[in-house]
Amino acid sequence: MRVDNLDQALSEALHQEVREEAYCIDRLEERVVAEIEGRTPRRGVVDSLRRMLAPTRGARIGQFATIGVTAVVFLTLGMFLASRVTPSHQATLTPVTASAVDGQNQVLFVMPAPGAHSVSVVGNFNGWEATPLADENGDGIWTANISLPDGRYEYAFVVDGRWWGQDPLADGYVHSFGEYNSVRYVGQAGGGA
Amino acid sequence: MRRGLIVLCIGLLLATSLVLSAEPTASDVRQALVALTPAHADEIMNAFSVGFAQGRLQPESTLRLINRLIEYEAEQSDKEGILITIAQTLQDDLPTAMLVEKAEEGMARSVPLSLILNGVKGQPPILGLTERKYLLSATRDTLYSKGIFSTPPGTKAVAQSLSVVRFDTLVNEIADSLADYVESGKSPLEGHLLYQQVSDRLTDLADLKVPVVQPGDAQLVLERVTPADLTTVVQRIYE
Repeated sequence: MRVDNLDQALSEALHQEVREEAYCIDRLEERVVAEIEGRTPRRGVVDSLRRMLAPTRGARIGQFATIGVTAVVFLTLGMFLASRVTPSHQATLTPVTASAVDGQNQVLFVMPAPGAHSVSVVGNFNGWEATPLADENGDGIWTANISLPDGRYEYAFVVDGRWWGQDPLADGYVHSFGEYNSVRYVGQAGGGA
Repeated sequence: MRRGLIVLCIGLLLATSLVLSAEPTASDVRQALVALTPAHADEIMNAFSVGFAQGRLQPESTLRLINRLIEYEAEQSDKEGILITIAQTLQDDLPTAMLVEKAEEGMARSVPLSLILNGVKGQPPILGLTERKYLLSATRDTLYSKGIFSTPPGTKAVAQSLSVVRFDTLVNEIADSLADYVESGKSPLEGHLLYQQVSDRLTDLADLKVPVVQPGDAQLVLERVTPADLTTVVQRIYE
Protein backbone atom coordinates (compact mmCIF):
# COMPACT_ATOMS: atom_id res chain seq x y z
CA MET A 1 0.00 0.00 0.00
CA ARG A 2 1.32 3.47 -0.87
CA VAL A 3 2.23 5.57 2.12
CA ASP A 4 0.15 8.56 0.98
CA ASN A 5 -2.93 6.32 0.90
CA LEU A 6 -2.33 5.10 4.44
CA ASP A 7 -4.23 7.88 6.22
CA GLN A 8 -7.24 7.46 3.93
CA ALA A 9 -7.21 3.68 4.30
CA LEU A 10 -6.91 3.99 8.06
CA SER A 11 -9.71 6.53 8.18
CA GLU A 12 -12.00 4.27 6.14
CA ALA A 13 -11.16 1.26 8.29
CA LEU A 14 -11.92 3.22 11.45
CA HIS A 15 -15.20 4.52 10.09
CA GLN A 16 -16.18 0.98 9.07
CA GLU A 17 -15.31 -0.26 12.56
CA VAL A 18 -17.35 2.49 14.18
CA ARG A 19 -20.35 1.81 11.88
CA GLU A 20 -20.28 -1.89 12.72
CA GLU A 21 -20.02 -1.33 16.44
CA ALA A 22 -22.31 1.71 16.57
CA TYR A 23 -25.08 -0.23 18.26
CA CYS A 24 -22.73 -0.79 21.21
CA ILE A 25 -22.32 2.97 21.69
CA ASP A 26 -26.05 3.64 21.56
CA ARG A 27 -27.10 5.34 24.83
CA LEU A 28 -23.54 4.66 26.05
CA GLU A 29 -23.34 7.66 28.37
CA GLU A 30 -26.67 6.76 30.00
CA ARG A 31 -25.57 3.18 30.59
CA VAL A 32 -22.14 4.14 31.87
CA VAL A 33 -23.66 6.63 34.33
CA ALA A 34 -26.08 3.93 35.48
CA GLU A 35 -23.19 1.51 36.06
CA ILE A 36 -21.16 4.06 37.97
CA GLU A 37 -24.16 4.92 40.16
CA GLY A 38 -24.62 1.23 40.81
CA ARG A 39 -21.11 1.07 42.30
CA THR A 40 -21.83 3.73 44.96
CA PRO A 41 -21.52 2.22 48.45
CA ARG A 42 -24.90 1.78 50.13
CA ARG A 43 -25.89 2.54 53.68
CA GLY A 44 -26.25 -1.18 54.40
CA VAL A 45 -22.52 -1.33 55.03
CA VAL A 46 -22.80 1.23 57.83
CA ASP A 47 -25.66 -0.70 59.36
CA SER A 48 -23.59 -3.89 59.20
CA LEU A 49 -20.68 -2.21 60.97
CA ARG A 50 -23.03 -0.81 63.61
CA ARG A 51 -24.33 -4.30 64.27
CA MET A 52 -20.73 -5.42 64.90
CA LEU A 53 -20.52 -3.15 67.96
CA ALA A 54 -21.03 -4.70 71.39
CA PRO A 55 -24.56 -4.34 72.80
CA THR A 56 -23.70 -2.65 76.14
CA ARG A 57 -21.82 0.58 76.84
CA GLY A 58 -19.20 -1.09 79.06
CA ALA A 59 -18.49 -3.77 76.50
CA ARG A 60 -18.22 -1.14 73.75
CA ILE A 61 -15.61 0.79 75.77
CA GLY A 62 -13.57 -2.39 76.10
CA GLN A 63 -14.02 -3.06 72.41
CA PHE A 64 -12.76 0.40 71.39
CA ALA A 65 -9.86 0.18 73.88
CA THR A 66 -8.78 -3.13 72.34
CA ILE A 67 -9.00 -1.69 68.83
CA GLY A 68 -7.12 1.44 69.88
CA VAL A 69 -4.25 -0.47 71.47
CA THR A 70 -4.05 -2.77 68.45
CA ALA A 71 -4.01 0.23 66.13
CA VAL A 72 -1.17 1.91 68.01
CA VAL A 73 0.88 -1.31 68.07
CA PHE A 74 0.52 -1.96 64.34
CA LEU A 75 0.95 1.66 63.30
CA THR A 76 4.15 1.83 65.32
CA LEU A 77 5.28 -1.43 63.73
CA GLY A 78 4.46 -0.06 60.26
CA MET A 79 6.36 3.19 60.85
CA PHE A 80 9.30 1.26 62.26
CA LEU A 81 9.41 -0.98 59.19
CA ALA A 82 9.10 2.01 56.87
CA SER A 83 11.94 3.84 58.59
CA ARG A 84 14.13 0.74 58.30
CA VAL A 85 13.38 0.17 54.64
CA THR A 86 13.10 3.72 53.30
CA PRO A 87 16.29 5.80 53.35
CA SER A 88 16.09 9.24 54.87
CA HIS A 89 16.85 10.94 51.54
CA GLN A 90 13.80 9.34 49.91
CA ALA A 91 12.08 12.71 49.59
CA THR A 92 14.77 13.94 47.24
CA LEU A 93 14.51 10.83 45.05
CA THR A 94 10.83 11.16 44.17
CA PRO A 95 9.86 14.80 43.78
CA VAL A 96 6.12 15.41 43.82
CA THR A 97 4.97 17.19 40.71
CA ALA A 98 2.13 19.66 40.68
CA SER A 99 0.10 17.51 38.36
CA ALA A 100 0.41 14.52 40.70
CA VAL A 101 -1.16 16.49 43.51
CA ASP A 102 -3.67 18.61 41.62
CA GLY A 103 -5.60 17.96 38.47
CA GLN A 104 -6.56 14.31 39.01
CA ASN A 105 -9.18 13.20 36.50
CA GLN A 106 -11.42 10.16 36.35
CA VAL A 107 -10.79 8.95 32.81
CA LEU A 108 -13.26 6.52 31.28
CA PHE A 109 -11.87 3.93 28.88
CA VAL A 110 -14.50 2.21 26.76
CA MET A 111 -13.94 -0.70 24.41
CA PRO A 112 -16.82 -2.39 22.55
CA ALA A 113 -15.80 -6.05 22.37
CA PRO A 114 -18.85 -8.34 22.21
CA GLY A 115 -17.91 -11.94 22.90
CA ALA A 116 -14.47 -11.12 24.34
CA HIS A 117 -13.28 -13.03 27.39
CA SER A 118 -10.90 -10.41 28.72
CA VAL A 119 -10.22 -6.78 27.90
CA SER A 120 -7.60 -4.57 29.47
CA VAL A 121 -5.90 -1.26 28.79
CA VAL A 122 -2.12 -0.80 28.76
CA GLY A 123 -0.36 2.53 28.49
CA ASN A 124 2.36 4.79 29.72
CA PHE A 125 0.15 5.64 32.70
CA ASN A 126 0.41 2.10 34.13
CA GLY A 127 3.90 1.12 32.97
CA TRP A 128 2.29 -0.84 30.10
CA GLU A 129 0.92 -3.35 32.58
CA ALA A 130 -2.67 -4.45 32.06
CA THR A 131 -5.48 -2.67 33.89
CA PRO A 132 -8.60 -4.80 33.37
CA LEU A 133 -11.84 -3.44 31.93
CA ALA A 134 -15.17 -4.82 33.14
CA ASP A 135 -18.39 -5.73 31.38
CA GLU A 136 -20.66 -6.23 34.36
CA ASN A 137 -23.98 -6.36 32.50
CA GLY A 138 -22.68 -8.49 29.64
CA ASP A 139 -23.65 -6.06 26.87
CA GLY A 140 -20.23 -6.29 25.23
CA ILE A 141 -19.12 -2.81 26.31
CA TRP A 142 -16.06 -3.03 28.51
CA THR A 143 -15.24 -0.05 30.71
CA ALA A 144 -12.70 1.10 33.28
CA ASN A 145 -12.40 4.35 35.19
CA ILE A 146 -8.79 5.30 35.85
CA SER A 147 -7.62 8.27 37.90
CA LEU A 148 -4.97 10.22 35.99
CA PRO A 149 -3.31 13.60 36.36
CA ASP A 150 -3.45 16.07 33.47
CA GLY A 151 -1.20 14.98 30.63
CA ARG A 152 -0.76 13.21 27.32
CA TYR A 153 -1.11 9.46 27.41
CA GLU A 154 -0.40 6.71 24.89
CA TYR A 155 -2.31 3.47 25.28
CA ALA A 156 -3.81 0.44 23.61
CA PHE A 157 -6.50 -2.06 24.50
CA VAL A 158 -5.69 -5.75 24.77
CA VAL A 159 -8.65 -7.91 23.74
CA ASP A 160 -8.14 -11.61 24.44
CA GLY A 161 -4.39 -11.08 24.16
CA ARG A 162 -4.53 -9.09 20.91
CA TRP A 163 -3.41 -5.45 20.97
CA TRP A 164 -5.85 -2.88 19.61
CA GLY A 165 -4.30 0.57 19.36
CA GLN A 166 -7.03 2.40 17.49
CA ASP A 167 -9.54 3.60 20.06
CA PRO A 168 -12.28 5.50 18.18
CA LEU A 169 -12.56 7.83 21.18
CA ALA A 170 -8.85 8.78 21.11
CA ASP A 171 -7.58 12.27 20.37
CA GLY A 172 -5.04 10.85 17.93
CA TYR A 173 -2.83 7.93 16.95
CA VAL A 174 0.90 7.36 16.69
CA HIS A 175 3.03 4.58 15.26
CA SER A 176 4.98 2.58 17.78
CA PHE A 177 7.02 -0.54 17.01
CA GLY A 178 5.21 -0.79 13.71
CA GLU A 179 1.75 -0.76 15.33
CA TYR A 180 -0.63 1.96 16.46
CA ASN A 181 -1.03 3.55 19.87
CA SER A 182 -3.99 5.71 20.76
CA VAL A 183 -3.30 9.10 22.29
CA ARG A 184 -5.47 10.93 24.76
CA TYR A 185 -4.98 14.35 26.32
CA VAL A 186 -6.38 14.33 29.85
CA GLY A 187 -7.37 17.59 31.50
CA GLN A 188 -8.19 19.63 28.43
CA ALA A 189 -9.68 22.99 29.33
CA GLY A 190 -12.65 22.33 27.06
CA GLY A 191 -13.80 19.49 29.28
CA GLY A 192 -12.28 16.67 27.25
CA ALA A 193 -11.18 13.47 28.90
CA MET B 1 -18.92 -9.70 66.03
CA ARG B 2 -16.31 -8.03 68.20
CA ARG B 3 -13.68 -10.42 66.89
CA GLY B 4 -14.65 -9.59 63.32
CA LEU B 5 -14.22 -5.88 63.89
CA ILE B 6 -10.81 -6.37 65.48
CA VAL B 7 -9.68 -8.61 62.63
CA LEU B 8 -10.86 -5.97 60.14
CA CYS B 9 -8.85 -3.25 61.91
CA ILE B 10 -5.75 -5.41 62.13
CA GLY B 11 -6.03 -6.19 58.43
CA LEU B 12 -6.26 -2.52 57.53
CA LEU B 13 -3.30 -1.64 59.70
CA LEU B 14 -1.22 -4.47 58.30
CA ALA B 15 -2.03 -3.33 54.77
CA THR B 16 -1.00 0.24 55.69
CA SER B 17 2.26 -1.05 57.14
CA LEU B 18 2.99 -3.06 54.01
CA VAL B 19 2.28 -0.09 51.73
CA LEU B 20 4.57 2.11 53.82
CA SER B 21 7.40 -0.38 53.63
CA ALA B 22 6.90 -1.47 49.97
CA GLU B 23 8.11 1.72 48.28
CA PRO B 24 11.12 0.73 46.10
CA THR B 25 14.38 2.47 46.94
CA ALA B 26 17.74 3.06 45.28
CA SER B 27 19.04 0.15 47.34
CA ASP B 28 16.44 -2.17 45.77
CA VAL B 29 17.51 -0.95 42.33
CA ARG B 30 21.16 -1.71 43.11
CA GLN B 31 20.31 -5.24 44.25
CA ALA B 32 18.32 -5.88 41.07
CA LEU B 33 21.16 -4.48 38.95
CA VAL B 34 23.69 -6.77 40.60
CA ALA B 35 21.38 -9.71 39.92
CA LEU B 36 21.06 -8.76 36.23
CA THR B 37 24.55 -7.56 35.39
CA PRO B 38 27.21 -7.92 38.10
CA ALA B 39 29.92 -6.66 35.75
CA HIS B 40 28.20 -3.35 34.91
CA ALA B 41 26.13 -2.82 38.06
CA ASP B 42 28.40 -0.20 39.63
CA GLU B 43 28.86 1.76 36.42
CA ILE B 44 25.11 1.83 35.74
CA MET B 45 24.17 2.51 39.35
CA ASN B 46 26.46 5.54 39.52
CA ALA B 47 24.55 7.14 36.68
CA PHE B 48 21.17 6.02 38.04
CA SER B 49 21.94 7.52 41.46
CA VAL B 50 22.49 10.90 39.85
CA GLY B 51 19.23 10.42 37.93
CA PHE B 52 17.34 9.63 41.14
CA ALA B 53 18.74 12.73 42.84
CA GLN B 54 17.83 14.91 39.84
CA GLY B 55 14.35 13.45 39.56
CA ARG B 56 15.11 12.28 36.01
CA LEU B 57 14.66 8.66 37.03
CA GLN B 58 12.33 7.09 39.58
CA PRO B 59 13.32 4.04 41.66
CA GLU B 60 9.87 2.49 41.15
CA SER B 61 9.86 2.52 37.34
CA THR B 62 13.58 1.68 37.20
CA LEU B 63 13.14 -1.37 39.40
CA ARG B 64 10.14 -2.45 37.34
CA LEU B 65 12.19 -2.13 34.15
CA ILE B 66 15.13 -4.12 35.55
CA ASN B 67 12.87 -6.88 36.85
CA ARG B 68 11.23 -7.13 33.44
CA LEU B 69 14.63 -7.35 31.81
CA ILE B 70 15.65 -10.12 34.20
CA GLU B 71 12.61 -12.18 33.18
CA TYR B 72 12.74 -11.28 29.47
CA GLU B 73 14.07 -13.86 27.04
CA ALA B 74 16.90 -12.06 25.27
CA GLU B 75 20.65 -11.85 24.90
CA GLN B 76 22.42 -10.66 28.02
CA SER B 77 24.27 -8.03 25.96
CA ASP B 78 20.96 -6.53 24.81
CA LYS B 79 19.63 -6.41 28.38
CA GLU B 80 22.78 -4.59 29.45
CA GLY B 81 22.58 -2.39 26.35
CA ILE B 82 19.16 -1.07 27.37
CA LEU B 83 20.37 -0.08 30.83
CA ILE B 84 23.71 1.28 29.61
CA THR B 85 21.93 3.46 27.04
CA ILE B 86 19.72 4.92 29.77
CA ALA B 87 22.78 5.42 32.00
CA GLN B 88 24.68 7.17 29.19
CA THR B 89 21.66 9.40 28.56
CA LEU B 90 21.78 10.49 32.20
CA GLN B 91 25.53 11.03 31.99
CA ASP B 92 24.90 13.24 28.95
CA ASP B 93 22.65 15.39 31.17
CA LEU B 94 19.46 14.41 29.32
CA PRO B 95 15.99 13.28 30.48
CA THR B 96 15.22 9.57 30.26
CA ALA B 97 11.42 9.32 30.64
CA MET B 98 10.91 8.60 26.93
CA LEU B 99 13.52 5.83 26.89
CA VAL B 100 12.18 4.06 29.98
CA GLU B 101 8.61 4.20 28.66
CA LYS B 102 9.62 2.90 25.22
CA ALA B 103 11.61 0.03 26.71
CA GLU B 104 8.64 -0.93 28.90
CA GLU B 105 6.21 -0.69 26.00
CA GLY B 106 8.44 -2.74 23.74
CA MET B 107 8.71 -5.54 26.27
CA ALA B 108 4.96 -5.45 26.92
CA ARG B 109 4.55 -5.93 23.15
CA SER B 110 7.08 -8.80 23.21
CA VAL B 111 9.36 -6.92 20.80
CA PRO B 112 12.93 -8.33 20.59
CA LEU B 113 15.31 -6.35 22.78
CA SER B 114 17.73 -5.82 19.89
CA LEU B 115 14.95 -3.99 18.03
CA ILE B 116 13.97 -1.97 21.12
CA LEU B 117 17.60 -0.95 21.43
CA ASN B 118 18.60 -0.35 17.80
CA GLY B 119 15.33 0.01 15.86
CA VAL B 120 14.81 -0.92 12.22
CA LYS B 121 15.67 1.23 9.22
CA GLY B 122 12.58 0.59 7.10
CA GLN B 123 9.74 2.57 5.65
CA PRO B 124 8.38 3.60 8.03
CA PRO B 125 11.34 3.11 10.34
CA ILE B 126 11.15 1.96 13.95
CA LEU B 127 13.31 4.02 16.25
CA GLY B 128 15.32 2.29 18.93
CA LEU B 129 16.55 3.76 22.18
CA THR B 130 19.83 4.62 20.48
CA GLU B 131 18.14 6.83 17.86
CA ARG B 132 15.87 8.35 20.48
CA LYS B 133 18.91 9.25 22.56
CA TYR B 134 20.32 11.06 19.50
CA LEU B 135 17.03 12.93 19.14
CA LEU B 136 17.13 14.00 22.79
CA SER B 137 20.71 15.16 22.44
CA ALA B 138 20.13 17.02 19.16
CA THR B 139 16.97 18.65 20.54
CA ARG B 140 18.81 19.82 23.65
CA ASP B 141 21.65 21.20 21.52
CA THR B 142 19.18 23.04 19.30
CA LEU B 143 17.51 24.67 22.30
CA TYR B 144 20.94 25.69 23.57
CA SER B 145 21.78 27.18 20.18
CA LYS B 146 18.59 29.24 20.41
CA GLY B 147 19.52 30.64 23.80
CA ILE B 148 17.19 28.40 25.81
CA PHE B 149 19.03 26.86 28.76
CA SER B 150 18.37 24.90 31.91
CA THR B 151 21.26 26.51 33.73
CA PRO B 152 21.47 30.02 35.20
CA PRO B 153 21.72 32.69 32.50
CA GLY B 154 25.18 33.37 31.20
CA THR B 155 26.45 36.51 29.69
CA LYS B 156 24.40 36.26 26.51
CA ALA B 157 21.56 38.74 26.45
CA VAL B 158 19.33 36.31 24.54
CA ALA B 159 19.72 33.51 27.07
CA GLN B 160 16.51 32.18 28.60
CA SER B 161 17.01 30.02 31.68
CA LEU B 162 14.41 27.46 32.69
CA SER B 163 14.36 25.07 35.63
CA VAL B 164 15.75 21.62 34.88
CA VAL B 165 12.26 20.10 35.11
CA ARG B 166 10.76 22.58 32.62
CA PHE B 167 13.73 22.28 30.26
CA ASP B 168 13.67 18.47 30.44
CA THR B 169 9.96 18.48 29.68
CA LEU B 170 10.56 20.57 26.57
CA VAL B 171 13.41 18.35 25.37
CA ASN B 172 11.46 15.16 26.07
CA GLU B 173 8.24 16.30 24.37
CA ILE B 174 9.93 17.81 21.32
CA ALA B 175 12.11 14.73 20.79
CA ASP B 176 9.18 12.36 21.31
CA SER B 177 7.02 14.29 18.88
CA LEU B 178 9.82 14.21 16.28
CA ALA B 179 10.14 10.45 16.84
CA ASP B 180 6.38 10.07 16.26
CA TYR B 181 6.77 12.01 13.02
CA VAL B 182 9.66 9.84 11.79
CA GLU B 183 7.87 6.60 12.73
CA SER B 184 4.80 7.72 10.78
CA GLY B 185 6.95 7.42 7.63
CA LYS B 186 6.77 11.10 6.61
CA SER B 187 9.76 12.76 4.99
CA PRO B 188 12.33 14.24 7.38
CA LEU B 189 12.89 17.00 4.84
CA GLU B 190 9.38 18.44 5.27
CA GLY B 191 10.39 21.03 7.83
CA HIS B 192 7.00 22.75 8.01
CA LEU B 193 5.29 19.42 8.80
CA LEU B 194 7.86 18.72 11.51
CA TYR B 195 7.29 22.18 12.93
CA GLN B 196 3.51 21.68 12.88
CA GLN B 197 3.88 18.36 14.70
CA VAL B 198 5.99 19.95 17.45
CA SER B 199 3.75 23.00 17.61
CA ASP B 200 0.63 20.85 18.04
CA ARG B 201 2.25 18.78 20.79
CA LEU B 202 3.53 21.76 22.79
CA THR B 203 0.32 23.74 22.36
CA ASP B 204 -1.87 20.81 23.43
CA LEU B 205 0.27 20.25 26.53
CA ALA B 206 0.27 23.96 27.36
CA ASP B 207 -3.52 24.15 27.02
CA LEU B 208 -4.23 21.56 29.72
CA LYS B 209 -5.90 22.76 32.91
CA VAL B 210 -2.68 21.87 34.74
CA PRO B 211 -0.21 22.53 31.91
CA VAL B 212 2.49 19.93 31.37
CA VAL B 213 4.42 22.49 29.31
CA GLN B 214 4.25 26.08 30.53
CA PRO B 215 2.53 28.21 27.87
CA GLY B 216 5.43 30.69 27.93
CA ASP B 217 7.95 27.89 27.34
CA ALA B 218 5.99 26.58 24.37
CA GLN B 219 5.77 30.07 22.91
CA LEU B 220 9.49 30.61 23.45
CA VAL B 221 10.39 27.43 21.55
CA LEU B 222 7.96 28.08 18.71
CA GLU B 223 9.28 31.62 18.29
CA ARG B 224 12.95 30.69 18.23
CA VAL B 225 13.10 27.24 16.63
CA THR B 226 12.52 27.10 12.88
CA PRO B 227 11.38 24.27 10.58
CA ALA B 228 14.94 24.05 9.24
CA ASP B 229 16.25 23.52 12.78
CA LEU B 230 13.92 20.57 13.26
CA THR B 231 14.92 19.05 9.93
CA THR B 232 18.53 19.21 11.08
CA VAL B 233 17.63 17.48 14.35
CA VAL B 234 15.79 14.64 12.61
CA GLN B 235 18.52 14.15 10.02
CA ARG B 236 20.95 13.39 12.83
CA ILE B 237 19.39 9.96 13.33
CA TYR B 238 20.05 9.12 9.68
CA GLU B 239 23.75 9.98 9.91
